[in-house]
Amino acid sequence: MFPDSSYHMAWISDFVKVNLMIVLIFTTVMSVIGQTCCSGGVPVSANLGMPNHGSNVLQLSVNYDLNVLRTLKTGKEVLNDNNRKRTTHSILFETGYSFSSRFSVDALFSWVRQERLITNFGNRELTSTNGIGDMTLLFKYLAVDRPDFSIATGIGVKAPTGASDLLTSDGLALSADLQPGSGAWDGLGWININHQPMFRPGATLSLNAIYSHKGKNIDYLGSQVYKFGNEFQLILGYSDRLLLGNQLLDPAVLFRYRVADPDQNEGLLQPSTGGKWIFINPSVSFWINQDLSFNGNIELPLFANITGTQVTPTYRINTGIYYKLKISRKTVAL
Amino acid sequence: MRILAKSFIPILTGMLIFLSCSDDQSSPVLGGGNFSSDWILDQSEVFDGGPGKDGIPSVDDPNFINTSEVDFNREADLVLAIKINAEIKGYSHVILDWHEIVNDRVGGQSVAITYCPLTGTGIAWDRFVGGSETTFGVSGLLYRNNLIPYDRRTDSNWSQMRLDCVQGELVTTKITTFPMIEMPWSTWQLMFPNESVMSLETGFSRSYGVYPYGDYRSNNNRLLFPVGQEDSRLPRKERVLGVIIGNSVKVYRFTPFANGLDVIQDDHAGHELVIVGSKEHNFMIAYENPNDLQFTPSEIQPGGIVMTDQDGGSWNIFGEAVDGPNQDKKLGSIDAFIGYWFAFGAFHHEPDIFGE
Repeated sequence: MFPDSSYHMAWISDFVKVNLMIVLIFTTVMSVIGQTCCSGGVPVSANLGMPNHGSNVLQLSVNYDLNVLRTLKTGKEVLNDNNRKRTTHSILFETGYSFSSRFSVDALFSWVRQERLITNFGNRELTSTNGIGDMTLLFKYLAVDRPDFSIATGIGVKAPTGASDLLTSDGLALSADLQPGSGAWDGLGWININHQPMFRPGATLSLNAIYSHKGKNIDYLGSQVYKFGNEFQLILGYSDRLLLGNQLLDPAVLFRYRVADPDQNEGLLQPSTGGKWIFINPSVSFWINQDLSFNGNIELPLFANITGTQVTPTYRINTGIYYKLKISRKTVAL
Repeated sequence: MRILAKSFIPILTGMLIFLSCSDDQSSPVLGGGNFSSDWILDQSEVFDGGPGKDGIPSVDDPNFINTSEVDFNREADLVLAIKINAEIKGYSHVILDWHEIVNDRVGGQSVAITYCPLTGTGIAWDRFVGGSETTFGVSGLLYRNNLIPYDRRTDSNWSQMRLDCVQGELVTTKITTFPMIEMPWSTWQLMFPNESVMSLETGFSRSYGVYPYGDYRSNNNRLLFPVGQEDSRLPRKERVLGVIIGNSVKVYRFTPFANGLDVIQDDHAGHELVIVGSKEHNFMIAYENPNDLQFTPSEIQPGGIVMTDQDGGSWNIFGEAVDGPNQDKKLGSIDAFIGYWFAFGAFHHEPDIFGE
């Protein structure tokens, strides 16, 4: 599937140029957004689940994720008010290692910046936090591995490595959703089904289901117990593999359904938390070679029915690079 | 690996450029430190409520309609009634739940109608503070679950229930209040069938009529933020009338007003008080009675007539004699407002409870 090595250096050169252009456009757009801006949630679950490429394969990815919430809604109704903006910037470092063709493990580390921007009455009030986010480990088992069909399952845990007790410079406690970490241990269940259809050998139909059982932060605001709502996500995707000129790329489109229970404070449901969302997520991966790719995607809400009144996702941008490396016994020995 | 490095550098550079350009006006630090500021409250009891400063927008240009035109209040929905000079206005909880502060003028006086949904306290503030007129906004901060307004002229933070400035240029300045009476829409219609009520034309898009805090009003187990001290003598969410004279607080329950409309004459902190209320009509208000007048309840009449004095003169709910030998006399204003019991217990050490 990959062009031979005579084209390799030319691709690298082209890729770097394209990459630079994307980054320039990206940073320009982000600067404009930064002048008016806001956040939401760290996209831990949605980024989990690297494929199993056989034993002793190490996979690495670094992604930047921008999640912007600026749509004020009550239930399904959009309110005409965009004065509140919440933004989460996340840098996600994910690594996966397959011990065998069946067993593998993923680890996700994050650095998070939470922002809340209010533009009302001629004022511009920005509140932000940043720091290391929570860490997630996912242990996976490839239960079915046929050329055109696979099923993998996994269980995981999210550890509260991120701070959940950050204060303002005045020493005032910030609410749970503005903290880089959740302060709680969560349990995760994951299943992934892939199918390569006969009519299109390079294409893949995929289904991901993730359940996240949220733990309790027993030291919220110094004396309360806070629990984010359990959530379930179903991600249905179609991806293809194309050769465009000399460039190999994987376009894909995902549909993500997310349902989150309301949060609980002191065992009671927290008003205006939780809801149901459906997103569409077109993406593309550019392959430099069979081990290295650059990817980008944008996610837009198609439907949201939220509990109470909330600022809800408006758009999300995610971009990054992926690299996989076969670790031979010789390499290990070195 | 060189390829990886070449590709990674521009991405990382982009991220860093963006993050370094972010306008970080509020730099959080890890908890547990000492903070230098001019708060006169213990900062560990002040919490960021979530929506942020002005995230709950005050209404600064309210519109009014006649009582007969109001179609958004249900009979039990509460309304705050105020009278200054000859002007009477009503502000519905249906709107205040979403805005918490209305900057308005009543009878030529600049007032801020402040309402905290979490403590159930509605208090009318004089907007003339520190020698100048200002408007108040919602700071997004809470002290013991209670609203902290800020004034837009000096950016100082104030405590709604403490009635003073707690941080900023005007720190320790006291607020002047105006009497305001909380009553259900059904009672308002009896008393003020032709007066003005704030309309839904607020300039903001909100789900008026939908209470934004779930079962908070009725669930005694629910508090959204820590309140420090608590007093368990009454249920947390029981609505009581708190009368504040100096540092002394006395609360009145609806229980003594169970027989229709009633008047209680009581003394507190050396002051003679008149408390008029009705459990049926769901209101209570207190005034100072410096002339030792004697009152008996009357039928509720338009104009807010609720009692008569010993000379047969009628008095309205704003403590004004409307006819009889004492016509044009007024009872004395004191700091008195309805709120949830837990809030009075959190702000004041063991308040007196009338009759207990």
